[in-house]
Amino acid sequence: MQPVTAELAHKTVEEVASKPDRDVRRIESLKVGQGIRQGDIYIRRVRKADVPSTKPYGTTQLAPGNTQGSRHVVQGDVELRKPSDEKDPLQGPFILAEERFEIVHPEHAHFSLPPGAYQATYQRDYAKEEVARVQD
Amino acid sequence: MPKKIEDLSPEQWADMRQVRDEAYRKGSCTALCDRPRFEKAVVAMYAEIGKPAPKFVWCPGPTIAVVLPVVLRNAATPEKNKKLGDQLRGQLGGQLRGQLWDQLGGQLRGQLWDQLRGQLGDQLGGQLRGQLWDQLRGQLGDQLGGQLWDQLGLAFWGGHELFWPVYYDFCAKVGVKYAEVQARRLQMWIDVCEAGHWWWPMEGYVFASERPHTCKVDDDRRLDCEDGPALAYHDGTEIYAIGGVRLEKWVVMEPAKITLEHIDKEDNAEKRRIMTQRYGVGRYLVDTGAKVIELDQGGGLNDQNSRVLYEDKRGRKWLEGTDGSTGRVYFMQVPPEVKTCREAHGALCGFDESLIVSES
Repeated sequence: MQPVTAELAHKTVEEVASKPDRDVRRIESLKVGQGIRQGDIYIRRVRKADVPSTKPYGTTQLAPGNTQGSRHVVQGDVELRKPSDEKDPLQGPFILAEERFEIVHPEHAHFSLPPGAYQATYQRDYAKEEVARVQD
Repeated sequence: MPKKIEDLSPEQWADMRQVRDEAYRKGSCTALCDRPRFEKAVVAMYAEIGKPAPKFVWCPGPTIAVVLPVVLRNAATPEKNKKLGDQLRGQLGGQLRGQLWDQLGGQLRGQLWDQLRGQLGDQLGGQLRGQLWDQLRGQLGDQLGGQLWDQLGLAFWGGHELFWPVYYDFCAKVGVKYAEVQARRLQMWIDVCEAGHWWWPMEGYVFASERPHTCKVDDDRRLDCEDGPALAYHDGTEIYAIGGVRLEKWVVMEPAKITLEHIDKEDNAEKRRIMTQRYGVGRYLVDTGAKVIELDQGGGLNDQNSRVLYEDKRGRKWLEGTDGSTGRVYFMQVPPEVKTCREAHGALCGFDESLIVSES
């Protein structure tokens, strides 16, 4: 997997931010277990106590890759942590937010989510024999 | 004995990632070989095992480099050349491992093995070297048989085996001390792998292949190109591949020629999957008379796009869905046990879709 560099993430945000008329879907509240889907990634509310003490995720881009489809980016004052099992291709980072934040993407409507703990997960690609995430 | 190195600083880990990326770049490079640096290092290697400097025969690609020594009836026998190759690998590459194990803590050694040697080994050795090896074995085996098989087996892989010298070299950078002779020999391997490509050492001669002029890979560094060869050399050696799956040229270049019969006759599941995709999954479902299992109006959220669950004649099930934002239609394979679109979506995302409150 090619590394997601800070430069790439920065570019992505700029690209996305250049579209002011983007539809933003504001979610007022989410119960634990509930979530949203943006393209092929899911952001679900989790208990704060269930967020592992893993290392920082290192980028604000939630899906690995350098294609346009992978540019689901967090905007806001949040802490991103690596998943507990980094080898699981369906597990994305945890998001800890004290304030409202946004998930933006160049092609999909943005989401504005309330403060809380979340985890990103990915769709499974059943066309592959091994467990793999769908990539677009 | 000095204390073992048990961990690296954050800066050293960052350096490791940089070294790994740089090594991949060098190992998959498509510029011409640095012939002076390569030849100098090979001459030094020959000298190290007590052999005179060889003459170099540069070839435009690996097929010619394998065939030429056989056609020229090279004086040295395959047995002698094999012995020479064993000497080079055994004497010049040995002992590094033992010295490393003495100085690097087990956990760190494992981490570096996974993240540096392992990842690079998969990408350079497993993917690029492995695919080229399979291609040459297939095409040469059909043509001249035994002698060429022997010759192919004597290959050294240049940049495609850079993963192991880089691993030992990085360990030296973080404090592992090699004996002077081992350090000198390691540098020879680094020079050979960074400056050259596949090569065949023989008594008195070295046949060396130039690098490919084209090397296209996907995000996972698997050979991948949908409109040309993914790997191509100046001697006409070509590999066509999509997503790391080697394919016949016509499947990549002339997908319109793919028929249902071609797809059904293909035994390899990965090749069949790609042929189906290039044929068009929707078209495939229609043309094979796939059954509609269920049609619904989506998960009841924002855009209300309809979804269809199909079963094709192989018993595979597919969920057709339309992306509400882009309007693109996707055919996603789902497990055969699902009976509804909702179950199919649940299998894709790993939880019941009723928990999704909004989609875009």
